[in-house]
Amino acid sequence: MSEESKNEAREKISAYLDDALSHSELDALSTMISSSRDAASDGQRAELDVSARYQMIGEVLRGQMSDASMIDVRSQVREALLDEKLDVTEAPGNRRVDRKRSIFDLVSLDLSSWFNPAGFNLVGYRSVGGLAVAALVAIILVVTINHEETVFDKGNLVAESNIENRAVSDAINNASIVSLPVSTSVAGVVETQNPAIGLYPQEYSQVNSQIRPRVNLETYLAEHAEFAAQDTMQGRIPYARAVSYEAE
Amino acid sequence: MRFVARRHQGVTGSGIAGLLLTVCLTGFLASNAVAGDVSDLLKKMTTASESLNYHGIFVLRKSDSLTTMRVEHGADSRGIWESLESLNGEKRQVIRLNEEVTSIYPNRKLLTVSYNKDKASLHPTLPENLDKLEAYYKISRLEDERIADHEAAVLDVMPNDTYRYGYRYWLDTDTGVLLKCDLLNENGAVVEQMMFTMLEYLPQAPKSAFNTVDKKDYQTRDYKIRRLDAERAVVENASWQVTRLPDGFMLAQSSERKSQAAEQLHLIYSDGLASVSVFIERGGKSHHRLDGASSMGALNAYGARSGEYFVTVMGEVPASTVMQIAQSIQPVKNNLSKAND
Repeated sequence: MSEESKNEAREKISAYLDDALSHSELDALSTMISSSRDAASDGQRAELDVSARYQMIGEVLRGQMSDASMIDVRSQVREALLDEKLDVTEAPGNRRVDRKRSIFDLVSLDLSSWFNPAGFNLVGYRSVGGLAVAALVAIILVVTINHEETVFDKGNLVAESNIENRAVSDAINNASIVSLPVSTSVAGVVETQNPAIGLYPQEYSQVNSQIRPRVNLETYLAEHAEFAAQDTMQGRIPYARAVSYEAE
Repeated sequence: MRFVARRHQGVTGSGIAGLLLTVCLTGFLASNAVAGDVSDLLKKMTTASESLNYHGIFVLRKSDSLTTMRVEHGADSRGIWESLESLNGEKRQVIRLNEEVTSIYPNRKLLTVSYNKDKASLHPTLPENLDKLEAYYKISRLEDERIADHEAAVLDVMPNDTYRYGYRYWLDTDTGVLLKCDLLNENGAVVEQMMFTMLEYLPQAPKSAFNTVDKKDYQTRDYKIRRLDAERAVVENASWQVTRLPDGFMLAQSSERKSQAAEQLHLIYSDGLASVSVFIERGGKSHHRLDGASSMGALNAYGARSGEYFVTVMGEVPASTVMQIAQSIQPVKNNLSKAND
């Protein structure tokens, strides 16, 4: 890639960040970066990797993400998250993780390595395009983190134990039940290598701070449903719970 | 004037008394009318399954999921038959034919059959136990609504404490079929919801009704329930008791069931509306047991270990209630002669 082409690319990337490129100009930039990468030397590839990140940003925004777009962002995101002390909470029955830290706080940590290609004038672009880049990287973080989480939703998993006990402990405090030794922390952290129940502890621990055991309650549910449907005023609902539980 | 005033006072006094009497009588009659109305509706609901033929689609919404199911129901001289089939996710089906319950898992080529004979409960069931239920729930009728193109009477059954959920029922005013049901937590939030989106009554049982399941393509897991004397919940040489139960809950059934992993004692407590199962097991693999709390919509579960036994409590009651019950289960050591009686 010639010096002239590099400068042209940088100007176009900056214009893109400032939302000053038309659709055809954007396509031209993407094509230029892709074709230049193939002919580049090792040193030039490093610089082009940075440009490729911007290309991925554009593809995310245009909804054109593909496997080729995933250029090693996840490991960096993961490292950034692990470096931070996240307060992970989880609503009962909900696998999502709410992060109290703003996503922009996390992004700003490692922004310099992404936003400092050789020869780039950082000062000007940080002040003008910093927020835009933060927003764009936030999109990538959401995409990559969601990709991680779907891995753990697969498999024959029908229940999660150790769902947050906050609601339980609050209820106990409010009720007049008394003094049972209630554990308010997540109980029973168990690590298992059993692939049959679909737990991937190594990857899972990198997204959440706890490993949760997954057990199969379908037998109990079916047995409970037999009585609940017969002798209480719930009709077929107990069986519906069993069927839907197993279908999840 | 005085004479006239006294006459007016007399008339006024008896007028007020009459008015009060009328108000009281009206209130009494109204409340009795509501009570009678509610009782009639509940009776209709419990008998609806015995005489009706219908098919429909309903959705079951839990806190974080939505499932659609197809139901077919037939009732004739052969008995009562019902099929419940999931329409999303893994295909699952439960078929009930009189006392036989068959659960089918086509993807896993697995079929389980249970025979629920002699299922008499110790707990009087609705609507006969309506009076007792009113000790723990407030029952009232709300304004009628329309569900799945059927007119529905709306019944509120709200608990008097935080140990149980509230229920809101929408019953077909003509047939008593449960068209919609909400389970509400102590804050009035809906934790689970069932609602028909399509319901069609049929002149006779559906074509597929009373078909037996061809079991030759399935590996089959049969088990039978052995009812135990309710006074004796015995597992080998230890008996068990729950020392902290919410008011109104009593032991309704106890049974012993043999599974592949271990023998299991199943105790069922109910207040007539909500039910809680207590499973006490020995043996099996520990990492397959629930350890701690789990929530599945309105159904909460709690697992704990008591010595060499595993205790799993599950029921459509708040999480705090299952936890309280689980943590209050204690073995009561009997001598061998008593345990073996």
